[in-house]
Amino acid sequence: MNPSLLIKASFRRYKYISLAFVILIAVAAAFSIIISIQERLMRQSSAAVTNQFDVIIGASGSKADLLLATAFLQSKSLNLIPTEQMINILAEDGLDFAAPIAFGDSYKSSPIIGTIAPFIWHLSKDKLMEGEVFTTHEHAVIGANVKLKIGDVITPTHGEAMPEDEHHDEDEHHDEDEHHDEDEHHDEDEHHDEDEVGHNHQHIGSELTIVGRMQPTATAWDNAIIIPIEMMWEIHGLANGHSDANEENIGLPFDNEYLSEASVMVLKPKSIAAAYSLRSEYDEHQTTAFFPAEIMAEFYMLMGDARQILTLMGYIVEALVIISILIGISIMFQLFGRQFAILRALGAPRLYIYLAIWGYIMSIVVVGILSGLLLAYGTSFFINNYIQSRVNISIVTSLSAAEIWMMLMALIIAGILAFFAPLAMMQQSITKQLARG
Amino acid sequence: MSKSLEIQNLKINTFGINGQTILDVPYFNLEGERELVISGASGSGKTTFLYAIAGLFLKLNGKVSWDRSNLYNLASVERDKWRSQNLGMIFQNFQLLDELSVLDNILVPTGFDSFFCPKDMIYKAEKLADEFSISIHNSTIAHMSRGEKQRIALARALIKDAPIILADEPTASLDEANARNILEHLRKISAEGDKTLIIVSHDPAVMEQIDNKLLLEHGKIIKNTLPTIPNVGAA
Ligand SMILES: Nc1ncnc2c1ncn2[C@@H]1O[C@H](COP(=O)(O)OP(=O)(O)O)[C@@H](O)[C@H]1O
Ligand SMILES: [Mg+2]
Repeated sequence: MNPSLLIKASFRRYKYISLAFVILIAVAAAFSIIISIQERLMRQSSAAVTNQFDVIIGASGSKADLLLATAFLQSKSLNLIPTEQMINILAEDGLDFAAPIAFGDSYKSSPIIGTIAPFIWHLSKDKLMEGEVFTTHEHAVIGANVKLKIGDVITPTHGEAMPEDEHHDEDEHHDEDEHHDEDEHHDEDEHHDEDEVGHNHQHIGSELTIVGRMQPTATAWDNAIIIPIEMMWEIHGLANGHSDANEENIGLPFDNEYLSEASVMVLKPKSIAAAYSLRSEYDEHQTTAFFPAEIMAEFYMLMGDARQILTLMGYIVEALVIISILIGISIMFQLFGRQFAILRALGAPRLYIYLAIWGYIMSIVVVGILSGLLLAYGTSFFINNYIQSRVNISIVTSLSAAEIWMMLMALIIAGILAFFAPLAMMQQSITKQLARG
Repeated sequence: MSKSLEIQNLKINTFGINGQTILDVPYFNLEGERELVISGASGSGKTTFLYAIAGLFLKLNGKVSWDRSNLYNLASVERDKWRSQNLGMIFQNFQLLDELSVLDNILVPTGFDSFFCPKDMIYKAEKLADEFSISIHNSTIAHMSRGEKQRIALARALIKDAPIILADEPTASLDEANARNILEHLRKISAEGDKTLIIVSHDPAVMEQIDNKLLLEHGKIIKNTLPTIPNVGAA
């Protein structure tokens, strides 16, 4: 008993109808998988943000702007935290670390960010992908996605990240004094609007050597070049945080009189209690302190509506598919009714006819679902590349157990629907069907 | 010993409120006889008669007994199996499967019993095709002439060497020479294998060669050369 011949023959005969069903199922499957993948990525990236940036403190201003700047490295005009507050924060206990962060420079499309080593260890989960963390002012560590190698030497450009072709040919030969003047001007108000971007220039003489690469963080930091905050301050002609005697020192502790201002401080409290007390202590008129989760929750309330609409659309698509499969099965009865009556008249066992019908339906469903998976994977890949290019987040497109499980469920449902089709077919009168041909 | 056929109180109606009787056979017996030709005008119920004795109705009024057991007492699964083992059937409009090749069409009935088609069956199908001048290469069923389809249907009915052959107008689409050839072939197989051969035909050539005749009109037997008295038994 080998109904595969009959299944193949049915495909050959009803090519276009079969193809239409395969496409229908593929599109529906792809749609629900894409929704699932995107929804999961949104959850993961927000989890990455809330897990890696426990408490963020900035100068008074918009929390959303601070979060965008800190987690997504979207340059915003941020006010600087007054040094006396920075000194207070650095002196707090109940902290694993308090990392001052300074933005403002870039290399090609990567933002250059100044901070301290413990924050790198934190982001990279205590283990670098390769190399080591900076030990001198001229060292830099790169994010997982930065297209540079260990040992590469770069010269930062002042200002925010620019598309590659726009920032190479700028800036003729200024002398050192001119640099300083302009740097100070920028640092004072940290505004990087269109006009000022036009004044970007390379910091000639401040060369950085790449010494390490972080593990992926699923945040915009994957595209960042991270340097000692001392170097960042020096480049901009500011006090580098250490007294003249300790000029070459790197990281904590700073000499308070030599401390310069930072845009943001990221805190890693030792306990939840400490987190809450720090948050309330520094959420006052001079500084803003918050948990990223607060902002993400607001963000999600907006996104939630979109997600619900997508999910609803997913359900509608699925319902349509089930309806069209049912219609398809009834069309099949019309098309195949006589064939199966002939087989029954010739004495074909029920199982034979059963397998032929079931096999045909399931072949369509399986081919449809597999094409749907490929289609979804391809589409998600393009969507993710687009998001990646816009938000600087490293996104790995992957199918998770959730999507596989979803498709397995679809298969089981189809299998059950297809289970009843041959049973119904078997109830038809053979003589009536034979009379049709 | 060929199979015996006995029909009692068979009545087949069309469906619906004013369902008409399309076949009404109070009694018929084909015992000890190997051949039968059924004739009658178009619409007189010949095909319906054949379907009834082939067990193709899901259920019916009356009894159709082959070898003294009522076919319609069998569960429909059993009846399918009975057909597969006992019947070689040629349908009036051939009922071929257009999407299969010529050879696969001939082999269809052999595919129910084993996963792979037995080699000797393929050989036999090729031999039958050769005997009936059926070209098995480069031909799609749908584009074939009625004569060719007729011969494929015939080969399919013979492939399993079944003990009962039911042929619904098997020579209607053939020229005289081919018709004679086919009839001779059927009768030879029936004689050699002691197979029951029931042919529906109004072809005079068929009628004159087969002795046992049944004439139908409006679903009723109006002429029967066989004994019509029920064999009540020697009570
Ligand atoms: N399924 C059916 N429903 C209604 N009428 C039918 C059906 N099958 C056959 N008939 C009618 O029964 C009569 C006998 O048909 P049939 O047995 O095919 O005749 P024949 O084979 O002698 O030409 C015809 O009048 C036909 O119209
Ligand atoms: Mg007929």
